[in-house]
Parts: sequence; C-alpha cells; structure tokens
Amino acid sequence: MKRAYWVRFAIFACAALLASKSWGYYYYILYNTSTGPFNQPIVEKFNLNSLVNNTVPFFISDAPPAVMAPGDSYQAIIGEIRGAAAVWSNVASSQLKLGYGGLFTASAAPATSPGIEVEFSDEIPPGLVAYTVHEVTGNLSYGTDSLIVPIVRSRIYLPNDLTQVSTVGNFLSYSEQFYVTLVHEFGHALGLQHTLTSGVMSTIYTTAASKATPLGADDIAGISVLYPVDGYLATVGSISGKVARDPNGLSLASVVALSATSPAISILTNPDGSYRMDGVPPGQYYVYAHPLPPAEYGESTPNNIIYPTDVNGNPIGLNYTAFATQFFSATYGGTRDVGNHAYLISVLPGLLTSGVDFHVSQRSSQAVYGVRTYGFSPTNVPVASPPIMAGAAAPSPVAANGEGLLEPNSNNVVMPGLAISVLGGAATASNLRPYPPPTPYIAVDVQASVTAGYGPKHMLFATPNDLYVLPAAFSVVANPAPSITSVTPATDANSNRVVLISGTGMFPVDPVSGTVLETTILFDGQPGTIQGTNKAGQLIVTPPPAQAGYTATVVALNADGQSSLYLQPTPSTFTYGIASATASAALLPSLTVSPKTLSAGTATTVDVTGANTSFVDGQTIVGFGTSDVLVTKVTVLSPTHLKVAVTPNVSIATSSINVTTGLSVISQALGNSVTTK
Amino acid sequence: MRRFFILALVAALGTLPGSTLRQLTLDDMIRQSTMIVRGTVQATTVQYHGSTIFSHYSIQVTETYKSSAQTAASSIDFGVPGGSLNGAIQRVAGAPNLTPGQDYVLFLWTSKSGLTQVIGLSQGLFSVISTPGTAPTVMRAAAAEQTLNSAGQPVTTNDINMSLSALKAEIASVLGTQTTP
Repeated sequence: MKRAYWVRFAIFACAALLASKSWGYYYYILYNTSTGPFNQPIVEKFNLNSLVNNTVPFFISDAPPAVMAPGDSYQAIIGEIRGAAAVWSNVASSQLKLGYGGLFTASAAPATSPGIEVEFSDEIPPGLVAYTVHEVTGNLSYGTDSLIVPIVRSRIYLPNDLTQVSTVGNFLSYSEQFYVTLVHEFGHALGLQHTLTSGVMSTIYTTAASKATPLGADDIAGISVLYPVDGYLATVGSISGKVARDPNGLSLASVVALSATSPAISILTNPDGSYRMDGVPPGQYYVYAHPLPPAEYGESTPNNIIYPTDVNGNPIGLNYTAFATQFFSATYGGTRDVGNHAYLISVLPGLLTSGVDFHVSQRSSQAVYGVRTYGFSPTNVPVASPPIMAGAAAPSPVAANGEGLLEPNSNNVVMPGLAISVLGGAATASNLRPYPPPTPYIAVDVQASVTAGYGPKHMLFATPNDLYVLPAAFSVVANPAPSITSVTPATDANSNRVVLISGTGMFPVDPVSGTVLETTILFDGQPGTIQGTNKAGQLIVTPPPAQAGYTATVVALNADGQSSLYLQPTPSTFTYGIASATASAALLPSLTVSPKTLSAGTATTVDVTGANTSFVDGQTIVGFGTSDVLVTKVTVLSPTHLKVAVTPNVSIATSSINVTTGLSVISQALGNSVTTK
Repeated sequence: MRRFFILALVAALGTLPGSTLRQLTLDDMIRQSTMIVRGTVQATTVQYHGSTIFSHYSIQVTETYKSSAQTAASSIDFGVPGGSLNGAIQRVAGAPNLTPGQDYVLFLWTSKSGLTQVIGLSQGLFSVISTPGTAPTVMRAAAAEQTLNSAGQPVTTNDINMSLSALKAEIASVLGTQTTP
C-alpha cells in the first residue's frame, strides 16, 4: 500500500529561503577553501551583470563546414543551430537568453565580452561528434545574488566534414541527433554538466531528449536555478538532506525526485554528502539516492562529470565505489520497495523540505546502470524513450540495453533475478526476454492504460540486491506521431506567401483548451507561423523568410515529443519562389553599409541598404562578428533599408556586417553570397 | 523482421545525441587511429591551437602497434583539449586524465593540421596494469580508476579489459599485419 508521507515537521516557511543560494545541481563547481567544509559551492555561470538584457550573444563561424551531407546547406545548418539555441532562450523561468549575433571569423582577434561561438573544426577526432570548451579565468565575481566564477566564453565545435562523422556518417542538420546535440552543447556552454535523469543534459547512455521536447524537467530546473527570473524560487520548492555511508557523507552521489506522474529532477551531493535541490515544481515526489555509474566506454570520469575543485584547483571526486540505490522512507537505510515503503514527499512553493537523508550501504559495484530504451515507429524507425499510446489494445515492445541486463559474456541470457516494472500502476512491463546473440538487448512489452496520464514514465530495474531507475524510459501519448504528406506553396488573401501542409496527427489548436498550439512546423529549424487550417484540413503556415530558390526541409513536431521524422526520416521540403538556378543567381542579395568603420566607445547608427533583400521588422538580425560590438536596436525602414544602433567596445570595419532574416543569410565576409540547396 | 530492426539499433541509435561521445568499438579505433603505441607519458607544454588550449604530453614509446611517420621517433607529442594558459582556464568534459609516468596504450589520431590527440577523447586511452607474476592487462583508463571492488580488484564491465597480448593480437588481426616489437 502506498503511503503519502508529509514531512511537515521538516518544512520551514522561511521567507529568507526564497533568496537563498542554490546548492548542488550538476553544475561546474568551485569550493573556495582547501580544508573544508566543502558545502558552499560556487558555480560557474555567465555573469548577468556583464550582459545587456541578460543576453549572451552567440555566433556561428563564417567558414561553413568544408563538406556537408547531400542536400544540406550552410543556411540550413545556421537555422538549426539557431533553433537549438532558442530552446534555452524559451525557458521562461530563466533570465538568461541567447541572442544570435550573426557570423564571426574564427581567425579574427578574440572578443573580450562574454559570448558563445560555434565553429566547424578539423580537430575533432573519431569518436566525437561535438564538444564544448568552457572558459573561465578562475577569478571570482559577484553575480546578481552570489559569488560566482564567471564564464567568459564558450566554444562549441562541430565537425568540418559533416559526411564523415564518427559512427553517424552523414550528419544532416534536420536530424533529431544534430538538433539535440546542439541543444546539449549549448547547455554545456551555459554552465550545465551531464545529468542522469534522461534530460537533454544526460549523456548518450540515458537521454530521452527529442527535437520536439528537447528539455526535460531536470534541464529546465537546472537552467532556471542557475539564472532564476525574479520570483521563480517562490514558485518552486526545495528538498535538502544528506547522503552518507555512516558516518561519512558521500561526495557526488546523485539524488533524484520523481513520481509516477512527474518527470525527474536531480542534483549531486557536495563533498560532505549534503545536498539541496531547488527548482522542484510543487507536488509529491519520491526521492532516491543512487551512485554515479562507473565511467563508461572511455568516459574520463563517471558520466564525464568535471569534478568540483577546491580553491587550489584540486579536483574533489567520488569517495565511494558504489552503493545500493535507496528510496527515502521511514526506515533507517531507506527502501527499494518503492510501491510499498517509499515516502511521497510533499514539495510546496517557496518552501524547503529538509531532513531527506539517506544512509546507504556499500556495494562493490552497481548491478545495473547506463540503460537506454528504444521502440519503433509504425514505419520501423527506431526511437529512443519511445512513445506508447495510452489505452492501446496491444502492448508495445520496448527494447533496452545497458550494463547488468544480461549475464556477462552471454548476450542472450537475462541476468538472473532481474525484474522490470513501471513506477506507478497505470502502465505495465511484461514478458522480459533477451534478444539472441550478437545483439546485447533485452525487451519487455509495455502497455499503458488510459489512466496512466500522458508524459514520461519511469522504469525500475530491480535485482536481488539493488535497483536502477531509468527516468523517462518511455512516454505515454494520446495520438500517433505527426506525418506530412504534402507541402504546397500558396498565397493568402493578402497575397502573402504561405505553405499548405497536409498530413495526419497534427494539432494546430489544442482540442481541449482551444488555444495552445500542439504542433510546430519547422523550416530548417526555424518555426513557421501557423495561421490556421483551410476547409481541406490543410495547415496554413507562413514560413520564415528566405530568398527565392531556397529549399528548406519541413518537419512537424508535437508537444507530446513526437516528430514527423519518426515516420519520415527523410523529410518533405519546400522551395521558395522560382527555383531555377539562373533566377536564383540574379536575385542574390547584397548590402551597402555606412559608415565604413566603428570607433571603440562611440555609439553609432549604421545605415544599411540592401539589394534583393527582404528585411522584416522584428525578424531581421544584424551582427558584426563579435560580442565586442553590441547591437542595441535594429530598425527596419523597408525591405531594403534598415538602421542599426551599435555600441562598439572595439574599433572595427563594418564590412564584417552580416544580416539574417529567417533563413536568409547575407554576409560581406561571404562575398554577399548565399548557398542554396 | 523485428530482430533485424533490433540489430539495426546498434548502428542507428548508438548514434543518438545527448553527448559529445560516440562509442567506438575496438576495431573502429584500430582502423581509425593513425598510430597505436605503448609507453609512459610526461606533461610538456600548454598551448593554443586556434582558440582552444591544449595540454601537451610526450609519450616515450616502448612499443608500436600501428605505425605512422611519427612513430619512427622514440617520443611522440600529443595534445589533450583543455588546460590553463595566460590566466584562461578551459575545460572539456571527457578529456582524458593522464598520470605522468603511467604506462599506457594510446590510440592516437593526427588531424590534417598535424595535431595529434587521443582518439575519441578518452576512448583511446588504456592503462597497462602489470602485476608481478601475471601477464600485463589493459583496461580503459577511467574504468581502471573508478571500478575497483572493496578488495581493490578491477570490476569486470562490458568495457574493454583484456590482456595486452590479446590486444596486440587483435590489432594485428584487424590491420592484417604483424606488430612491431
């Protein structure tokens, strides 16, 4: 029998908590001491006091990838990168925003103002798809509310040859993996480390992120606690406690809060075993502690976590090998019997629930870890953390791989004693079975009732002496994945360009609320504006601007996490205007810019006149290739004329200007040229 | 039919995003590395390559398992992304942690620009563990550090953990050559 346990005695309604410093989380952390106590983490983050409008500018190299996948283009890559960055900007509870600053020249003098740069590199060895370099000076600064280590610059590196990406081959910009990889790397750039709760910041081994729903609750809490908007901490609750193998606290143990109907949120303990998890949406949660898994497949540390350091830069790693996963309960030593003995802890807005302590027992190794689940779309496209239809008459097979699921060196014998279940009773997992060699997978049949509730569901992998929890192992959905059957150019009643999209499983208007858009249509990563549906049931969509002849991929995403790429791995396309090469060449845009130079410290208004341009107020972005030139305002006077207010910190030629409108990129550095598909 | 698609998962979903890393098999690393050597490492310099700081190491080569022009030298320079230089500290998750004086087998890869790195960040870094009276074994360096049981013995995982002689034989088999002593 489940027991809801209200830890009322431990709840302190203390207004001061609302302004208290956040602890823990999977951040990059410094302890400003060499002797301890190690329980006051100082996080690495962008200093909002150094930013204008809390916006970190990001730039994309003006040297396109040397080799792109067939059908791909530089503009499409730019569009997808911008889309990935926007994922973080769209977190309403985070103050930090990412502002696209245009193209930059990697060989130019490095900027001194904070920013993020995305480059295409020949220095990425096989076995890597992308990586992020995170730069600090090591000096402490006061941020908006606490001492921080300011990030001065982050650089994201992608392969220069996008056709020879390790184990991927063609790394297509529209793909799920390209987009989610970029979201993940931007997360690193902003100050988030890897987590283990299936969010976008999880490593490959457990992530459930998708292009449609790239961020998990853990990602949202992580970025929001790092850069909280005013009042945010009053809307969420906190949980604190200690993880110890008596009498010693355990360093870098992971503590997770979740429930059958809520996604997971997690943090890591301080070196003394203490933790404080902020940013927990109000509700009831099970809380469990589990060890970091061993470094897998060439990770340099468990989960590739960069360890906290002391004031002398010495890393403070784990002080345990493994321990048995444990849910918080009334019993000293906790429980692994989640359904019968684990407590549901009530989290209330603005309040701290403390005393959620764990006394764990040592193990020589973890029984199960690094598990990932897969399913198949109706067109047999493999999908991680697969969607399961609520109320489906037949169960769906869900495959899983990971450490400890099969007997070592057998590949076809399920580990004796392994049992798999789903947290909560509204979904079931049955018929545990192996796949024959050489495929080291297991599978179960999963079925969700109509009362399961939509969203991510968590799987429990129990062994006789341990328990592994995989948050968001699958997701319960109400509808099939979207599918696009045709994309047709048209004009609306005002002669504006629109696209008519036919298909199934797309819901421009939420059938319940009647207002919320459930479907997003992306054109090379940039959202179109859904105007409604016509009598034929086609979606009427205004695409983002692009030059005539440009061809964009079209992908439909639903808010339940499903994508048209699940059914159609090769997406539909839309070509703007006349696609003839001759016509396109004749329409290549160009810019005339005045003045020719900007002087450091002198606020200047730059006049830009375009030929064959389509500047759009509110959509046209102007950059000068460096975060040292701050663009404060862009005023579009006409489709061919705009003014840019800039405050330069350096003297620079305005020939570095680049103008982006939707999917149209105009750059002097590129010789005003654009590359069409 | 279903089995076919499960088999295809290894290729298709082993590449899903969420991490910088993509798992390379041992055979992948043998084929894609430009040289494979055994030796001890020493830290040397820290320098910029473009905008990125690389910490450089030299490996005093004791055995060569896959040759390149560089392996004629007794000492090979390679870089690890991240480091501290001129007041800037750059860090890269997954960059290998090297212990000076430790005996390693390194799968190295040299870029077009001539910068040599460990393949797959840490994937190509193996500690050589020599115990008196037993044949040397190799295991992924990080795993060697993290997965010891309470008796101090390495815990077997599905990660690579094999005898050095078996590794050498595998390299020779994949390359279709004899290793150079």
